[in-house]
Amino acid sequence: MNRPSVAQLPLADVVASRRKCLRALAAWGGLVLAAGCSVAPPSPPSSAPPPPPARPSSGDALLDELRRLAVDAPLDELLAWRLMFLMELGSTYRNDPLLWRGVERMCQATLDGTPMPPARQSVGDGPDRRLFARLLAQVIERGEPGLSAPLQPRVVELRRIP
Amino acid sequence: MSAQGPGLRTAPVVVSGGFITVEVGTSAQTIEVNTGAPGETTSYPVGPDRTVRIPVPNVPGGTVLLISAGRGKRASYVLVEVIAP
Repeated sequence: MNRPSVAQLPLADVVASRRKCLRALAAWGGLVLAAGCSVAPPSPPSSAPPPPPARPSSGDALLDELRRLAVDAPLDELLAWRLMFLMELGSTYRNDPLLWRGVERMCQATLDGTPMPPARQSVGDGPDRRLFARLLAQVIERGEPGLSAPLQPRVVELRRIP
Repeated sequence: MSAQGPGLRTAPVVVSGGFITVEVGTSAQTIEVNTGAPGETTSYPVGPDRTVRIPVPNVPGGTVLLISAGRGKRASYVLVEVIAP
C-alpha cells in the first residue's frame, strides 16, 4: 500500500503531525529532566572513621575515659592529655593493658617527632619534648614488666631526645 | 623562670635530695608527686598559705617529677626536672 508522501499531505495535516511530534518530544524530555532532578546526587565517600566498637564500662568513669584516650581517641587528643594520662597510669591504673596501648602510641609519636600539642591543664610543657620523653622513659622502665616489656627497647631512644 | 600549670607554680629544676616549694592556685587540698614508678606517687597536704614544701626524693639526676593538684581532667599538672647535687 502506498502511503502518501509529506508533499502530498495537506499542509494542515503536516503541521498537526509536527506539533504532535514536538509535544511528545517535549513531554519525554520533561520526564527525563524531572527524573534527573529527583535523584539525589551520589553522596561523597565519608572520610570519617567508623565509630569504635562499644566497650563495656568498667564502672569507673575516669578509667573509661583513659581507655578511650588510649585506644580510640585521635593521637592529638591523647597527646594533649598526656600528663593527666601518665599521672593516672602511674598512680592508679598501672596494671590496665588498654592504657599501655596509649603509652605505646605516645612513645611512637614522641620518637617520630610528631608535633606535641600543648599539654592540657599545664602551661609551659608544650614544646618540651625532652622532658616528656624522659618521663615516658621512666614510666616504661618502672612499669609492670608484663605490660611494659615490649616498650623497654625504646627507653634508650627516648632518653636520647635532646 | 618557673614551671607552672594553670594552678601550680614551682621551680622547673630541683636538686635531688633537696626541697621544692610548690604554690597551689586551686582549691586542691593535696598535691601528688609521681616519678613514674608504681607506688612512687606521694601525696602532700597543701598548707593554709596555699604552698607545699616537698622533699625531693634521692633520685638520679635527669629524673622528671610529675606534680599534680587534683585528679583527672580538672587537675593541674607540671613537670619538674631533678638534677644531681
